[in-house]
Amino acid sequence: MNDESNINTIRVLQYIQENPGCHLRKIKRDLTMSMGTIQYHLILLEKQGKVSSERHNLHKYYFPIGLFEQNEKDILKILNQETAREILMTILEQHPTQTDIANIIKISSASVNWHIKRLVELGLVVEQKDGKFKRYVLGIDSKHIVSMMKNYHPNLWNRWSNRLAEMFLSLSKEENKQ
Amino acid sequence: MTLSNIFLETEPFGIESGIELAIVAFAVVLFALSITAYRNTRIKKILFAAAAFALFAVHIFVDSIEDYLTFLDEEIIGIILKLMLFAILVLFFVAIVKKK
Repeated sequence: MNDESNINTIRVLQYIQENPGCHLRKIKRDLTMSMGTIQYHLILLEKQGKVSSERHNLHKYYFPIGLFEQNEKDILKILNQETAREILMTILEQHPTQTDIANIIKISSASVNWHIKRLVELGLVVEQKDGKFKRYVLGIDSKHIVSMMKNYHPNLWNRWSNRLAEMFLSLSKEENKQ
Repeated sequence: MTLSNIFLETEPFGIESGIELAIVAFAVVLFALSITAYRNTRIKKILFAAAAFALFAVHIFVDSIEDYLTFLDEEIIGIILKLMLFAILVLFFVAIVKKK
């Protein structure tokens, strides 16, 4: 491999590290490289075990290895859900309790509890004790979360299915409010 | 009577058939939405709702071809249709009361 190719591989790797969850077309657009060149470097990086990819709907999304401890697929599913995105945004802006989140985004506490549990399991959110309350903060760098949310949007079908799921979640018994 | 005979003997497409078709199509869309919601969230209670939407589509379909099901007694078809409606309500009830 020549020096120029090496430099390009490093550029692609750095880009993915700074923009986890980016897809091929976005990398092409931002790095102004040809599709073939980027595909070559992505295959190389995957073979070297430096990046991983997850196919979802029409796109393949790239992640730096280690950042999400092989939870990439589940993280894409989370980002597919409007409510989970809103919860992440709320946590990004303040350190809320579950009740705060329920009040801000106007959903049932059962629903908040269910989403928070999944976000904590995936390491996207961390629980912090504050007296008798539990507050939530981001578990990973906020710029990574923002980048993933920018790169990945739920389509109309997923937004509707998410609302249907919310409807059933709100019918669940309310538990663990705080 | 085969299914092809049923379709051959069907009367020209009227408003009623159009509405029935729209209801079935809408129930199928709701069924597909529920399945997507289940795949994204893995909340089992959504599967009960999905089953209810699917059964609703089947109910409307059976109801619309009732006249052509000559091998079945009218009374039996009536009972089957009522049981389907009951099952739909039971499925929704389970979806509401079931714990995640």
